Amino acid sequence: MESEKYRRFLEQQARRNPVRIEGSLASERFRVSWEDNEDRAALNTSSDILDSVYFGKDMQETVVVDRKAAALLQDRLRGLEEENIRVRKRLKLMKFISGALLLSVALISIAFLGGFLPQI
Amino acid sequence: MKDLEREIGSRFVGNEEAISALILNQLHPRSTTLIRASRGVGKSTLMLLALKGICGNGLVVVSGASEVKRGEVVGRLHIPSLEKEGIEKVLWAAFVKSRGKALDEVNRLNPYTTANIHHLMQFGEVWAYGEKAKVEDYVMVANENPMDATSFIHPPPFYDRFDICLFLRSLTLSEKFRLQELLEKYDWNLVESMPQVLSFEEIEEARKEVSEIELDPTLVGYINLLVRDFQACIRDKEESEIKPPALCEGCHFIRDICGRVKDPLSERATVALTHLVKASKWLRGTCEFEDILHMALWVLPHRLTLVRTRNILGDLQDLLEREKVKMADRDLRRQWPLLNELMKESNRTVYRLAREAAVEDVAFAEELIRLEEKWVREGVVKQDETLSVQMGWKRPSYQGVSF
Repeated sequence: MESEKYRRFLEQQARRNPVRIEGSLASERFRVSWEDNEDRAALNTSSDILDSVYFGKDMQETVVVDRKAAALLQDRLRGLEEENIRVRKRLKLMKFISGALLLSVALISIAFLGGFLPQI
Repeated sequence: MKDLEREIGSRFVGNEEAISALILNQLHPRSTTLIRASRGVGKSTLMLLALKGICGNGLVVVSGASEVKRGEVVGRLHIPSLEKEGIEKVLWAAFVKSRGKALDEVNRLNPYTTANIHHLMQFGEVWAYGEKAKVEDYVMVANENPMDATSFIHPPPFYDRFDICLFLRSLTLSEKFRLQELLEKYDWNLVESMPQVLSFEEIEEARKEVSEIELDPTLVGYINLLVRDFQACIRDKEESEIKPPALCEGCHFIRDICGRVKDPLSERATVALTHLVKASKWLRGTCEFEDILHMALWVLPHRLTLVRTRNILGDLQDLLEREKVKMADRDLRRQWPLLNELMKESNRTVYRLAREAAVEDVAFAEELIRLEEKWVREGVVKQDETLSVQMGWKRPSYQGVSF
């Protein structure tokens, strides 16, 4: 049995620090995000860099990145680099396939043309 | 109450914060205050000023520095009744009947006297010769110098029954000048000149009004979180035979507040903080999170043991600063709003975010684990998928049984 005051505490915290849920929780497709309240004093912490990266907020004169945020960004960059390499490999393969396809289309076209020409 | 604070302040130099805390602590029934300081700093003076301001000359002092007999603290037999009628009639001691109870040099009280006072504070009654007497509402102020060579080591539960513990410092140069002026003004007897500022009936009325104050859930949440942070242990230190720091070896939360606390707080800390917050709301009209942290410096020192203590107040201040950062981090992680969503309905994505928050906060992890246990029972998640199983954490239990 939950205490009524405990529930009210959680609800008050939810109002003070709102979490935005886009879409219905019941459905598969929804997004959870949050922003600082407008009346909250600006925090010169690592959240600033994350806010600018994820929410497109303007950066302040000094941007402080703590170890946790730096590790998060490092991890994200590493992921992006790996994704980049994988996409480049796939691009090369696609280039090769499209070249081969083009060549085969050209050969087929020539073969067709060769078949028709002697009759003319 | 403000007049009382003013009258004490006009006779007691320095230590304004201790006076203010002492006043706030009088605003709930059966208030108990412990003053700790080295010799000659004004422990007894402050104790007597406060009690005289409330009870006038009706205060009773039991001193550890004198030979205390049971009859002086609890009660003695009425000899004529026993001799003439053969009836065991108990004459209850003035200390039991008095509204203002002073305990001077508590550390010197013998264990038998301490046990009687402990019982009085715990049950609001005293026993002597098979007779019981109920103790009415009172104000108790005690003092001690634990560094004193002739100390008894009293059990921690005895100290736990004191709502707050105030530390006094010695006077600065300018304060010494002020004290000398005051001593001359009051004919070298500060306590004698102290008037009774309010009657005990008036203080009972104030206590009633304070008890009726309804606290905002956020303030109650701050109090409970603060106390929980000084209690929580994912390795169940309360029941463990091995205590920190040995217990903390390899623990995920080794750098957290819990890793610095050897013996955790009792729930009386929550009660004492709640009384003080209510009193502050009543007397000053306000109480913020910063005020609660400040009050914690009066409520915590005599209730917990730290892994390493250099200076208990300095070490506690350091831990309370960390608590402040911890609370701000909780807001940034939105962990309570996430828990609020999860309590409405279980959801994988919100649960994943909550799990990420839980690895940063023991108190939050405990609440999430409790929710997981409910989900496991309902078949929403499998036991193997839970945070408690994957991280090897468990909720507080008694002899291996979770509550």
